[in-house]
Amino acid sequence: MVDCDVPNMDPSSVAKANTTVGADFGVVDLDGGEQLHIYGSPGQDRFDFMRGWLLSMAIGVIIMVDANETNAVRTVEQYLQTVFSVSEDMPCILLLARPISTEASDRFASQLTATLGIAVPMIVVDVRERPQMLDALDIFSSLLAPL
Amino acid sequence: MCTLQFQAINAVPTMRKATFISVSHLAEKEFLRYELLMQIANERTVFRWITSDLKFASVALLDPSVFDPREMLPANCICIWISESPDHPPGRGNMSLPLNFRLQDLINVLDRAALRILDLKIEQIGTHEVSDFVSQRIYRISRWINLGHDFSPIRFQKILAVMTKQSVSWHWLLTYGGLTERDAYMFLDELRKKEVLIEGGELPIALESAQPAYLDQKESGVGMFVKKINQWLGRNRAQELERPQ
Repeated sequence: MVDCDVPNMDPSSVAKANTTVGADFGVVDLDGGEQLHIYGSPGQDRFDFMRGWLLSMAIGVIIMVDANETNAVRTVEQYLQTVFSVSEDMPCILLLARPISTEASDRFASQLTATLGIAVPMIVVDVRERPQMLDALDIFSSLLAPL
Repeated sequence: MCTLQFQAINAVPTMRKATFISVSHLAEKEFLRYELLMQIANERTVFRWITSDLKFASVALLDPSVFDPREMLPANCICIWISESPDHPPGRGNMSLPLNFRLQDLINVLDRAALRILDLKIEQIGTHEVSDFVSQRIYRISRWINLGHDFSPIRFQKILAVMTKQSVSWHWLLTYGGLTERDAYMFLDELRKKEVLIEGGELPIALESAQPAYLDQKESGVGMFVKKINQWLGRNRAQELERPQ
């Protein structure tokens, strides 16, 4: 077991004493010996070099965000700009990983579209619930090869 | 495995045939009366009636003082005029409802319209013209939206996700999206109501005819990889269902 809560090294970005830093990696064994690798990257700005590495070999990106945060649109905008700087066609979906009302998530989607000029797929999930994560991956897979 | 997935997510009731009705050309009082009575009538009529835009409707409930006669009605659309006179306005196939129509009046006229629709289908007139109008267009969405309860199954969310990236055709909704014609109509209508649907011009004939072949091409490269992911998802969903709660 690893403690992912560490002292916040960047208080100017987020005003809290501790923050969660975690990188993760998982392998999904598919038929025929193929594998789907899933990499989890920390969200803090100082780890953007790590995101760059991962994006350089990624076929798609899932961004977890708390859409209730006041700066959520700005945060997602920055992430997406990083993603699209690598590939404008990179399949990308947002996981709204904190409880949020339908109205609030629709409002968030509208604000994001107003900012970015594109529609961004997003779904509300409880990341602790395996069936919900399977659904998320299913929806995401439709972006990988839609036609 | 995928079949299990599709069976589980098809939650739209299919007991009765559903048909589209337009009620957008009514005075407010008539509309409210319709809405109120329909809460009961819709359980008793031969068909289940779904409110839709006029251009998709098989039946239109019209107030002659509200409806602009220059407006195009879909081919074979049955008009039910709310009017003092049963003969106003005249026209072959027109039906009427009295101004202060009651529950039974509404049920009767809707059932008569349902029988007329069935007759039309037997004559193979159907609603081909409407379908052609819809099927030759392409659709995408302007922003992400949470859909109503009828569209909560994952199948609709997958389609919605694709529609954030590219336009899809009617043909695509039915073949790749796995929707029935009725589901596709309802889905597009819901997006239209939520003001997120972007409708494009007619699909080039060459592109439309090329699509089935294109779907076959998915069986290689990324398409094959996604297929394997979906197989894995299917297996894991089945395991989740078997797991004791």
